[in-house]
Amino acid sequence: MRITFNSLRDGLNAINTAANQLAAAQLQVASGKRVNVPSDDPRAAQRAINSQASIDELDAYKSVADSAGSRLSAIDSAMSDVVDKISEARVALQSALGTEANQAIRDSAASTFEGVRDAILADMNSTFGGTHLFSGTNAANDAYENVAGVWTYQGSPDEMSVAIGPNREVAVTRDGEEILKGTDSVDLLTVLDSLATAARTGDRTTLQAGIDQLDRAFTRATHAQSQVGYDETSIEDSKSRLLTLRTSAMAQLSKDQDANMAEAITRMSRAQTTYQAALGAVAATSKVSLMDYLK
Amino acid sequence: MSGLFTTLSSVAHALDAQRYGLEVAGQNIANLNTEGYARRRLELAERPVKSGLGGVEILGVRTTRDAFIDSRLRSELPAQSQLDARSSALSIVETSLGDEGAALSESMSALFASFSSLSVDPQSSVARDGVLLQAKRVGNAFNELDRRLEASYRQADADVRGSFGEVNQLSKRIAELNRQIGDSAGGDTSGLTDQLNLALESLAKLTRISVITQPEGTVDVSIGAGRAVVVGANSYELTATAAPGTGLAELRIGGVDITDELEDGSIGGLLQVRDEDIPAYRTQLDQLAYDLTDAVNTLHTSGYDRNGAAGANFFNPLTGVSGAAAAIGVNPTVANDSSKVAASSTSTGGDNGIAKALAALTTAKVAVNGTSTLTEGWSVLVNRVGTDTANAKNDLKTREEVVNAITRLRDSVSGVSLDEEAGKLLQFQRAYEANARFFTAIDSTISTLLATFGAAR
Repeated sequence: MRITFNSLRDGLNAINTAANQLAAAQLQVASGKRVNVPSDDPRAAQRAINSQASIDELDAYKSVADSAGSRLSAIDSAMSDVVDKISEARVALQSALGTEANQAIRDSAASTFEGVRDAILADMNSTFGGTHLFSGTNAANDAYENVAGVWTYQGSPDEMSVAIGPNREVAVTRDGEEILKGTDSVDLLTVLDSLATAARTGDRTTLQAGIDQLDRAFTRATHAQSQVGYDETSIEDSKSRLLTLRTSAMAQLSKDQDANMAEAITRMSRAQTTYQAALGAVAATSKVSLMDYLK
Repeated sequence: MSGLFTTLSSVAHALDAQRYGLEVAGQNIANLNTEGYARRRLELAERPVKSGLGGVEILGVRTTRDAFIDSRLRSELPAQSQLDARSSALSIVETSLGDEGAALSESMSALFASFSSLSVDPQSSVARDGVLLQAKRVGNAFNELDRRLEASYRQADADVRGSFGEVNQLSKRIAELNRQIGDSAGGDTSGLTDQLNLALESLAKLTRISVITQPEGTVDVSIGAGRAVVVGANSYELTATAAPGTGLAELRIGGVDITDELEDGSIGGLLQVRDEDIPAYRTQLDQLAYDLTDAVNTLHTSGYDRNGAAGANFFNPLTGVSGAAAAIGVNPTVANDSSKVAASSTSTGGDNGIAKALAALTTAKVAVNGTSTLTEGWSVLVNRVGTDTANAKNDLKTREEVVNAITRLRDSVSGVSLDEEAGKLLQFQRAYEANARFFTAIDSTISTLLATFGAAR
């Protein structure tokens, strides 16, 4: 085969190829990424998008779990107060039923019942970030209102829940009526009103009945509080699981997307050597010509 | 036996021949960098005479060209140009997708995360504003992507329009060269043939051509399904008309639309990008935009806003899949009043049922006829663009190797070797010197003879 002057063009092509390889290797080292455009590795690019979406989804769950945790803390705090207040009412009721109870003591107990009622009402109508905590899914409304002299539950029997992980939800509002009334015929607020009236009038029968009513309310409140505690633990478990899933997704993303720096640097070094060799080869061969030897 | 003067004449011919050899070598060296130039070779033969030694005569200057190799090169160039044009256009398309193609999926993830935040605080104005902000971002991402694809689509069309002008220019040039070759009436047409081959190669880069070489050296050229563009000294122009509706360039010859016949060459590559690749990507993008709009609107209209009113369409309702990516946007009724975001599944308000369901769309199989999530649908599109681009680049590399190999083969026949020409220079120079010495010897002999005659008288 005749080697012609045009073979210089092949040399230039080789230089161009080596320069492209060097530029690609430099980009990988500089960016730290193996896939800079989808055509670098289409399947890896596709997997990276799905991995990143999974990470975003897990981050969203984590954010919701954090908010839900704060909300449950607020519910827990309110429930603690309710339990304390019921205990306070129970003590006042015992004093009103005592053998030495006189009108002054019963009036004091009546005031205590009314104070406890107001405090529990405030707890039941408490909000967090504009959401009523004890109105179930009717979270825009107060849980209890006095409608025409009757304590009326404004909320919903359904609890509002949020997703804190894949197929994992936790309730962030509570059914206030379930706590204050349960299966009783009247709610705790009405019971406290009745006890206040009974204390002032000396109605021992009503006061005596109030003991069981307060005890059942106490049981319901402590049960609800323990449920909140369980949900708080569940949130912590979920966050731990989310972290594990996120670590796995990050590892997959890194595998698909990030450059192996040792390999990338080696490749860059090799490409640099190839480039220099191509330059040297073309320069060396283009210098030699029979023309140089003609006299 | 010839006389001294006959010998002298013969040597003069030989000197002419060697000098001409030097000229041919000089011509080859002068055209070292002339594209399309095929090296010339001086053909010498012993000069025939009736008796004795006739010396040398110049038979002619031959162009060293292999018609088969030229034809092979012309048949490979269209495929290479097609892949080159396609890979260049697709490289621009894939950069439109954003950082590793993640731009759209990030904004969709952010929208679903904002729905999650709203599910925690369904009454919160901040959370509602966050939802609207992310929804606008998603709409803008779809709009911007579609705009970029539209720009690539229009650029491919503009390039097609530019290319048909080149076809006409080259056809005219070939027809003119045909005319000049025809008019040369047996003269030296090697220079014209070089230019003709160069023009044919340029035309083959634009589209696949069929060439019929006539005995006198002229060529007839056709493109597509045998559509003649050059016959002898006549060329037939391609015209570009705007297709009804789309306004895209339709290439016609003699009033016949031949756009679909131009599959190879840079025109074929651009047409493939314009008519197949980008429309397919846009259809997938439109489908995603439509699926997102449909899924979100279906849930949103089943819910209730903060005021207890039935939810309006969250995104502007779309009439169909086509054009969805360009049209997607947040319904102004909702966009201008965040209380209109329907987070509740009950009219009493405060519930988060719809917000939660909207957030769950991130993992719901609502895209591509319910077969994948929206993010998966997007990743499939990115994979497709990446695969098409990578395949075009890889195929181009392979095709370039083939073209380079044939080009090297052609150069080995037609190319100029500087070393070879240097050798020829030396060869003809020495031959000239030797002939000159011979001429001097004969001249000296004649002088001696004449002097002898002079002395005798």
